[in-house]
Parts: sequence; C-alpha cells; structure tokens
Amino acid sequence: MLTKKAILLCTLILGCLFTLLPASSVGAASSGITISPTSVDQQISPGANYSGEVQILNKGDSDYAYKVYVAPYNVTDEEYRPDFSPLPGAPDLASWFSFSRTSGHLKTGAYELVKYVVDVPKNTKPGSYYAVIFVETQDKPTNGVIAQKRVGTVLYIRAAGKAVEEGKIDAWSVPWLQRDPLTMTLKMTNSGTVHYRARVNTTVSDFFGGSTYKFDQHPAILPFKLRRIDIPWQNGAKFGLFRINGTVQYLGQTHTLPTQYVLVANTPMRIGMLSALLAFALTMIMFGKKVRRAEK
Amino acid sequence: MLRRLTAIIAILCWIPLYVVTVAADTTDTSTYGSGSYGDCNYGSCTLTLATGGTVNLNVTPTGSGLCTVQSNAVTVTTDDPNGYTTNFKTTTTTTALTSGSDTIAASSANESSPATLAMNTWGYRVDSTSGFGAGPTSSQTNGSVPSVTFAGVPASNQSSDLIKSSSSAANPGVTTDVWYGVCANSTIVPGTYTVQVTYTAVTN
Repeated sequence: MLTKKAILLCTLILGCLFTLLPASSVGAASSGITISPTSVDQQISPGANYSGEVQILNKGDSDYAYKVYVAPYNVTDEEYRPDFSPLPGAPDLASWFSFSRTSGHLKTGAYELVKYVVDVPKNTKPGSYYAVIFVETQDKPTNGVIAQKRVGTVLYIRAAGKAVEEGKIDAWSVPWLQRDPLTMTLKMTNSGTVHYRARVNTTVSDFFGGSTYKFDQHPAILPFKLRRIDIPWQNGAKFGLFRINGTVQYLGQTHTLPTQYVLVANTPMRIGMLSALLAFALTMIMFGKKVRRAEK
Repeated sequence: MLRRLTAIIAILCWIPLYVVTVAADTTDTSTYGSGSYGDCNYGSCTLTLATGGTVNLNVTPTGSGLCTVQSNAVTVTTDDPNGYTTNFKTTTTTTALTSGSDTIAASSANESSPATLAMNTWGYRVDSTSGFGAGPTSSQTNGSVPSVTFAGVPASNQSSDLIKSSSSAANPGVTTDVWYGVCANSTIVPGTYTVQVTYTAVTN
C-alpha cells in the first residue's frame, strides 16, 4: 500500500517537474494600435523636402511603449503582397527620413502625432521610391509566444523629373455565374517609369436597376508591375441577377468598363433552379399531351 | 395520377426560389438597398491591428511526447477601400522557443508545404491560408500529435508569412486566428520557453 502511494507521489512530482511553460501568461488583455493615414502619395523635387505627420492611437486596454522607424516597401506578385526587405542596388530610404520622435509611450485611449520630414537628396534620379513608416509596439516580454504589432503608413514618393507615364487596363473579368461573394476582377499594368494611381468606380445593381451598391478604390500601380484588383461584394446578396457597371480613371483618361451580368447562386440554389426548370419542362410536356388528347 | 405528381413536383421545386432572402449589408454606409464601400477620404483612412495577447502553450511531456495547440486572434480594422495585408515573422533571427540555453526548434516546414508537427518542434498554421488547408483547427492541451499541418515562423531576416490579405475595407474588423502548436517529449528540459513574433499590417 505504502509502495503504491510512493509511486503515485513520485509520478505527481515528476509530472510537475517536467511541465513546460513555453507560454504561460494568459492571453487575456487585447492590445491594439491604430495609424492614420494609411498611405501618402507625394511628388518631391530632388534637393527639396516634404513634411508630414502620422497619428498613432492606443486602442487596447493596456499601456505600451512604441518605436518609429522606416523600412523599404516593395510588392512581390500581381496581388501586391507587401515585402519590406531592401532591394539590391536601391537607395537606403531610411536616410531620407527624420522624425520628431522615434519612440514613446502610449496610454490606453491616448493618441500622439509623429512628425516627419522626407529629404530627397539632390542627386536622386527621377522615378518612384517607396517606403513605409512603421510604428511598432514594444510589449513587455513575459513568456510564451509574445506578439509585437506594427502598423505602417506606405509612402509613394515620386522624385520629380523626366519620367514615362504609361499604363493600361489588362483585363476586366466578371464570371457570369458566381457564388457569394460576387467578385469583379480588374488587372492593370504599368509600363512606365513611375507609379500612377487609378480610380476604380464600380456599381452593382439588381437586374431592374432598383438597388445600387458602389465601390470606390484608388489602387497605386507600380512600374513594370501587373496589379490584380479584386473587388468583392462582402456581405452582399446570396442570390440574384445583377448588372455590373464601372469606370476607371488613370493617367488623365476615363475608361468605361463593359457592362456585365452576373447570376449569384450557391449550390443548393443552383440545384433548386435546375429542378424547377426540369419540373417546368415536365409540366409543359404533360400539358402538351393533354392538349393533343383533347384535339383528338 | 402522373399529372398530379408532376404538378406537386413543380410546386415543390419552385418554392425555394421564393423563400430565398436576398441579404446585403455594406461595410460603411449600411443601409439595405443601396450603399457604398470604403468611403474614407484619401489621406484620412485609418488602420488598426489588435491581438489577443500572449499565447499559452503549456505542455507536460511524456516519454513518447504530447502536443498543445492554442490560438491567437489577430484583428484588422480599416476603412481603406484598397483593403489590407497582414503578415508576420519572428522579431529576431531566432526562430526557436528558447529557455536560457535550451531550445525547442521551429518546424522546418514552410507555409507553402506545411507538415505535421514533429516531436520537439513548434509551429503555426492559419486555416484556409497558403498551403494549410481548411482545418478547422481546434485547441488542445497535452494531446496527441494534431492531424493538421504546421509551418515554422520565418526569421526576421526572411520574407514574412501571410496571415490574411483582403482587397476590401474591413469595417467592422476582421479577425483571423493564428494557431500555434508545440510537441515535446521527456528529452526536453523543463522550463519557461519564449519566442517573440511581430505581426504587421499595411493597406494595399
């Protein structure tokens, strides 16, 4: 009996000893950081500068320290997945920036303005340069998987000078049969030497023109990059026939997109519609037979 | 008889078309019947990134090993009509869970080809993103090796892994669960293991 108790006790002790705590503090409090604006598009002459500011806000339920810094900004595929690694041969844009502060402490609900100046060196070649101003939380290290958060303001800087502005709409695709969410896809290319910003206005209206939903996007198209712009109708209709219209304004021109019609229906709805059509066909066949019998 | 049967089938088949409710809700100016998406003015859009705090991965190893899986809610809120992208990597070049000189290595799999967690490794997964598959992942403590796949979090000097990308505004916020898992057997030295990751959010 005593031996059994001893074994049990040893097992408990060993169990406690071998308990790992790779992450122990309970993930109770949520913490959040807000930045505004989310992007800045600015033309600056070489040798000149631009002054701006970002606003940061603590939307969490605990205070935290933060730091401010600049990282390169680039995109990697047609969906413009962001990448913050330095590009070989590209200038170090961090040296162009100076800040009113590079760190601070934010209390819950408080906000602060961080002023910055971008000095574009005199010898900068005309063209586009991209950077992101990051504000990163400095949560106190505890244990486990500790999550730091950073949000960024993307800067699209155009160094003034001779440049080629050239681009086109590559594709406008709206499949006629879709499931929720209805999604329109526009592809645009930039064959110039500087980025440009497009304004994409699309509307979805029901077949009879009764309800209209508007989408207004302002994507930046970077040089030598194809950009795929998906326009999903989030929380939109689950079923119905819709008409899609749209215009795209870019590089001083307005292009009207061809009108498209879309049937939105999920799988059960499609089965229901098919069954209904079959039933209708059967009814018509039976009705035809009845008419023929009556004529005889 | 056949005519009656046909009529009944016809009625039954048409019913679903009339019971369907067409639901629509816009993200910003939300009135049924009309609306506009992503209507912040240029230069005034905001972006918020929030998380649920530190993740617990307590595990009590046995000879053959046990695994723990827990999630971290990552919420992005933005009125920017171009949408947003959220990604992450470790804060330093160290990807292992570390306790002094003891470590639990990160999974060697990546987001494109994630794999089942090996013993004495840790990793992450995001359901329905990259190569992870739909899941759904569920939390567990001191359980068996999870059937879902995991990948190692990339180091700070590598490209980030994707958590979520959306081409529309997220207002109200959109939450994505990042799942962390660890498997350990009795060869792991007991202790408090930590790693820091940095979540990043920018608008598209």
